[in-house]
Amino acid sequence: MGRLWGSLLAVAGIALWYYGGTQGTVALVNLGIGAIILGLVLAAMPSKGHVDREALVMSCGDFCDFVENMRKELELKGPPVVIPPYENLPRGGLFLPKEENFSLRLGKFADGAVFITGTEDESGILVSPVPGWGLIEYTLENVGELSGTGVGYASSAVSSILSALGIGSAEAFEREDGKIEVFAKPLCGGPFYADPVVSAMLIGIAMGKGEVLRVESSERANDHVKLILEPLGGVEKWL
Amino acid sequence: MAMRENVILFLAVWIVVSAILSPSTDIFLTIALIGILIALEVGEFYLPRDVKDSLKFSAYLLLLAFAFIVARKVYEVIK
Repeated sequence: MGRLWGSLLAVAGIALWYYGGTQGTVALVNLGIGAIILGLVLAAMPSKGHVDREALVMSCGDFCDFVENMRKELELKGPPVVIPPYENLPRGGLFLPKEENFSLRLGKFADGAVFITGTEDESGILVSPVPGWGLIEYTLENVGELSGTGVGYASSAVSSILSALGIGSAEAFEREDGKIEVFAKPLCGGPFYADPVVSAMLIGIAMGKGEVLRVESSERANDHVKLILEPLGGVEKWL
Repeated sequence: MAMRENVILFLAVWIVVSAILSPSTDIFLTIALIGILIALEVGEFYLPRDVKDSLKFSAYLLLLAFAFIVARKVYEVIK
């Protein structure tokens, strides 16, 4: 918006300058030059309520590092598991298991629970709601229901919302072997499960697929993160 | 109104008033340069980086114009 008004002001300034010059009116020439200067400034002015992407990165970066520290300190070695919303956990979540060979007991999970205890392979940390849950709610309000719509539709819906809000981009593809590849541009440089953009994308995909997803691998390439997700079956299988 | 908007409003009023009241373009350019420098000084902590960059760009252009005006006056005096 600022660019539009700035450009209009600069163009009006050039016209005034020219008109003032031909008429020999000093005040009009001055106003023209002044309008060009103000147009340049106004074009750079962010619109009201606009938040720079850098501000988001600065505000969530340290929290991402904290989550990574917590995972290391608690020796959570298992791969993160993405859980779509279900009766016990209406906002879905990300489960960080203690052991690599974990066992899911989704019947034990509840909204508000953090430490999931039990045998070694059942223990872990539940991140619910995930940092990007607000983005999923926004998607549901603007695009509609995601549950059971498929990986392609759900990932496109979340990606379009991310793009509309100007906070990043993400893509997801279903491979022939049934696994899902996700490419996303995270906001923070820390782990993906603490990142609002990536966690929103993961929950969106889990909702679209209607299955629990295990994050098989994650790797960073420049600004993007590449994740490979393995579907583990519906929620009812793990209750 | 946020401080950054107050600073821009001050600059806009300064430029419009000085454009109307200045008897010549040389004087207007010098007064506009002073206004931009005040806005930059006051808005150091409040203005977004992009706005400060465009203000600095305008200030450099006006400094060039100011140098040209001074050189011309000096030449007129010498002549």
